[in-house]
Amino acid sequence: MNGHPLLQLAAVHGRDSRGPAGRAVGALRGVSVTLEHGIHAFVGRPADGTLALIELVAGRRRPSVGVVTVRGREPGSHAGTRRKVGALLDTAELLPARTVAELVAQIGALHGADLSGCLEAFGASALAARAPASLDRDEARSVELAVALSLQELLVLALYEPFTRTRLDADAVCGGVVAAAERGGCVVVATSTPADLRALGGVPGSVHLLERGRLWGRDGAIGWPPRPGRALRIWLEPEHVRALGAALSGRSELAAVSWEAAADRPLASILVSGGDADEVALAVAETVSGLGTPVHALESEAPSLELLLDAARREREAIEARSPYSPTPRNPGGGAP
Amino acid sequence: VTTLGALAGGARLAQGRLARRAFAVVVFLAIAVTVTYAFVARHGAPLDAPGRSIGLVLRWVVPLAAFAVVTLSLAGSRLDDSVWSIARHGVPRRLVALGSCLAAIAAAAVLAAACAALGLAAAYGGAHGFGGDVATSLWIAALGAAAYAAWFSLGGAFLRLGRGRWVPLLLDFSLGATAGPLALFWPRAHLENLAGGAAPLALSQPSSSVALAGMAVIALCLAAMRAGD
Repeated sequence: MNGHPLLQLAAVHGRDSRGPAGRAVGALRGVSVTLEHGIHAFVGRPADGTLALIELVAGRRRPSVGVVTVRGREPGSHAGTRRKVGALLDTAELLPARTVAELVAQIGALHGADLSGCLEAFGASALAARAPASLDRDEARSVELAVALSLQELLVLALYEPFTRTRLDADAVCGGVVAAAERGGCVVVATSTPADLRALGGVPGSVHLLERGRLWGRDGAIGWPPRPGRALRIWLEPEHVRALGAALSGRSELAAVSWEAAADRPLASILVSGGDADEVALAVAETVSGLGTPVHALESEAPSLELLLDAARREREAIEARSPYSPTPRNPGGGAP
Repeated sequence: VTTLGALAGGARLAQGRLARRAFAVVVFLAIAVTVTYAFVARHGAPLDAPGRSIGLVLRWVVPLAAFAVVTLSLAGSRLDDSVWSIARHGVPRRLVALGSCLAAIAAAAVLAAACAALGLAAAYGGAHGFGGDVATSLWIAALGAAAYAAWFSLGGAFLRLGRGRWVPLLLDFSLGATAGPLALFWPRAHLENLAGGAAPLALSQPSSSVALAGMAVIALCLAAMRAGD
């Protein structure tokens, strides 16, 4: 602890290098944010700068303008700081080794940590005997993620899409991310799937929305956490799906009803959505009780990235309309201006 | 991580990248071109064959083979990016880059020496004088390759994907072929001098040897510094 924020980005411009011929897929444009311990999610597409954000925080690249600091030092230009930052990038770059187990041991030696059980802890013990060169992209990312989540002394953990394109046990990954935050670390998760973040609830942190390299807002300003009930998923026995789905389709309160039932799954689900959360919940409750359908579970669907962007735009427009500097003259009385 | 450990890590990284089929193709091409040219030269003019053969090695094979070796050791990225897999764990980039460049320099030097030896063997074809000539040519080719590889490593520390390595290659072919003051900075001029050709600014052969060695050391240090912490 030296008085500096755990992680700070100050007017950062920078890009990633994952496009064809080393070109950028996305870039950050003047991002400033200060983060302390907890889980901080950045929702957006790679083209919006999520990958650039993780590469800059990990020290993979240095910002072209501005500064990224971890406890006051730049991971991009200070090796000692980089040692305290764990990362999962778009593509894993593994140390040269004969087997994955040897590779993990080498990384453990570099960090002075015992990582012998890290693959088993995340359900990836089958990879231990493989040669790193034989791993496909997802498997290599899995090794990188298992190692990053197992290192105990990290200050910052920067994870790019940790819940997709890996072969690790999802619950174990969630547990590892939460544990890293609870150890006092700052976990930065970049994802294009807001649903991923629901499993990480309950830990102090924030959710930010990135669009075209700029931060649009965080938490309430982007409609996070989502209001429950505007879209509900109903889990039930497959034989009741058609009857309940048909009954729900007749409810005027619901804008959309769709269902999924697969022969190889024990439960089917019906997804309903509507304009008002209370009306959706009431319509579902009335229909289910009217038919006497046994329901296993109800869950509210996480909003999509597009919904978050819409919410952020609406919030921004509302702020601009309230502003005395708004270009549109205000007319609170409702009469002719 | 100790300095030696970081250097060894960088060397292993480059070694891993060179232990692939692409490097075998480079080795095969370099040797095939050298030996074929030497055979053709011996059948045309046996007395001139050793000189022409070593001329081909020093003017073409050494720079192009060194360029290919450095390109492979960088794995298609800039020098500081190419060492990320080790540097991410808190090892200074400059040390890993230094180890990686040293491995590339060693590989280029060995390949150049092998080409020089095989080219001369094919050119002499058992004739008298091979022993003395090969002893001199081996170290000239190795020293030249080291200077080239260091220059290309420095160039590879600039521009996207390390494309800066093309700059010394092009400048060497253009400026290094002259005998003016600008030729002093490029290995080609000094190799020409050591092979018995025109000397840049009438420099002596020992001076050219020192210039090549100095070039290798300075370019190597600058490349490592450019990689950063």
